[in-house]
Amino acid sequence: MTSSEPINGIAAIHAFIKVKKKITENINVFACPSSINKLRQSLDFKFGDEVETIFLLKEDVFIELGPPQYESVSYIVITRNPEEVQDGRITVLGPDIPESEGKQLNFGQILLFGGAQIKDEEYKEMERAIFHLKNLEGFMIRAVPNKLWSRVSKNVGQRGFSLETLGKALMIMYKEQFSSIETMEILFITTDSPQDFLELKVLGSEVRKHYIQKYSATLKAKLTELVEKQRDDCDYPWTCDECDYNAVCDEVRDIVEKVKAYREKTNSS
Amino acid sequence: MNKWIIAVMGKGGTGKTAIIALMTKILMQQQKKLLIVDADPALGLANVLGIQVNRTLEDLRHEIIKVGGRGIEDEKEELVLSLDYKAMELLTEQLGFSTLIMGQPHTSGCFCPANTLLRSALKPLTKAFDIILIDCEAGLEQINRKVVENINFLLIISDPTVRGLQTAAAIQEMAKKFTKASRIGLILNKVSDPSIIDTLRSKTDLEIIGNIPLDPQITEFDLIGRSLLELPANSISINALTTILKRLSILKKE
Repeated sequence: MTSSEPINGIAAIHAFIKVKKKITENINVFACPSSINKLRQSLDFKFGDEVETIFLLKEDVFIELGPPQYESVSYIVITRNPEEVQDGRITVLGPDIPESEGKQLNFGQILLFGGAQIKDEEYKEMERAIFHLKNLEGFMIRAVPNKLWSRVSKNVGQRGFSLETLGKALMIMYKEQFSSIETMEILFITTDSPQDFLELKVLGSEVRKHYIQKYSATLKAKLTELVEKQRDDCDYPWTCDECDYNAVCDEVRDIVEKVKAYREKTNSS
Repeated sequence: MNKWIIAVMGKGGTGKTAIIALMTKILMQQQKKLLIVDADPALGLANVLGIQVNRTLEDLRHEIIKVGGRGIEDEKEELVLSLDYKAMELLTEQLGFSTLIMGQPHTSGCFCPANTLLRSALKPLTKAFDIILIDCEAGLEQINRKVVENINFLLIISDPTVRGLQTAAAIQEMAKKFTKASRIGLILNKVSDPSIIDTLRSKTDLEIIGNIPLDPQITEFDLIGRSLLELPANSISINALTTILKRLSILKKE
């Protein structure tokens, strides 16, 4: 994001794709329109507030992407030079949805954004926007940071829902939500190679280093502080400073003192 | 289509877990979406159904309480966003039915807001099922707080003894505080002499909706640790339970 960034994430993802193109034929590239209107027109599935968020059970699923026991990776990469990103390009490495009915696949989703006006503060917001992709017909997404778990319904799967469909919906969502995004490109990966996922994960943590370091340092410091302050005689996994029952404990301590005083008094009399 | 939420209660030794396993076997043939909730801290039902328990509802509840208690803003935000994923992880889906395991509480204390959060996270998930069958060893109030509110049927399981009926009546009284179930009924299990039913009927206010004979095949399966889902479809206990479920209109009458 800045000149001090250790690696150029966009270039690294492009280099990853270039290497894969040399060694596999199972890679497809789609060119999608740039404008939101044209993206919407070319989308064959409903997407928007009119689509109810669904919960798909396995028996209704055409394909499952990145379930917990499978590989899953997800992150964003940003550049302030929009020309570095090939707007509208979707690269799919590995099998696509239509040819994988009934399967569970590893899943990776890397979103590349270019925009001269993208602010540092937008990074977190953009990274977390993926949690809100809930209104795409026949598509269910569950996410934790850096991991996605998705299901595609039989209904839309049989009508040709593909990773290009998902990519277009993501482009619409991001471009509508963030006016600072000028160009957007996506890499989807569904291969059964743990090495591919390892490479992308390592790359992801490099790209996110600045943010991760800041976040983990704060979290680690706070947790150390909590562990040091935690009482041995209390079941709750936090300190008295953080506890809502503090006032109750104070009252009980007061009762303990009163009982002690009462016993001393009755014993001495 | 009707949505059935059926809670099954009974004291230890009445064969409640076996009955739930048999109900699972019967209901999974109905082409309906079936969710089994095991609220027994001993995880007996999970064992009988042969389910590998990875993560329980109480594990997630403990995580919510821990994050809430630590009060770190970033961590709280992350939990909010990840809650749907974590709730879905609790579900074990297999052919014919899914299971949700309550597990054992990690911390004492009520933590009502954590329960409310948990219930809201489970709402879209429980909504997807046609039938929810709950093994309520832990008490109905825990189910109400953490999983679902509106139970249609409360089935109390008892052995065919006067002492068993007294316990069943006590369970009913306790349960009434926490449910507006449209029907509360008693199932007598392990009945070796059907002629005692009339005598027992005169000694309880509870509606006896059916009885299940003592089934030597269940004893045999339990003895060798075989799953009750493998019990023959024409076994005497499955036939008796099928009649009861038809009587309750949970199964269609022929």
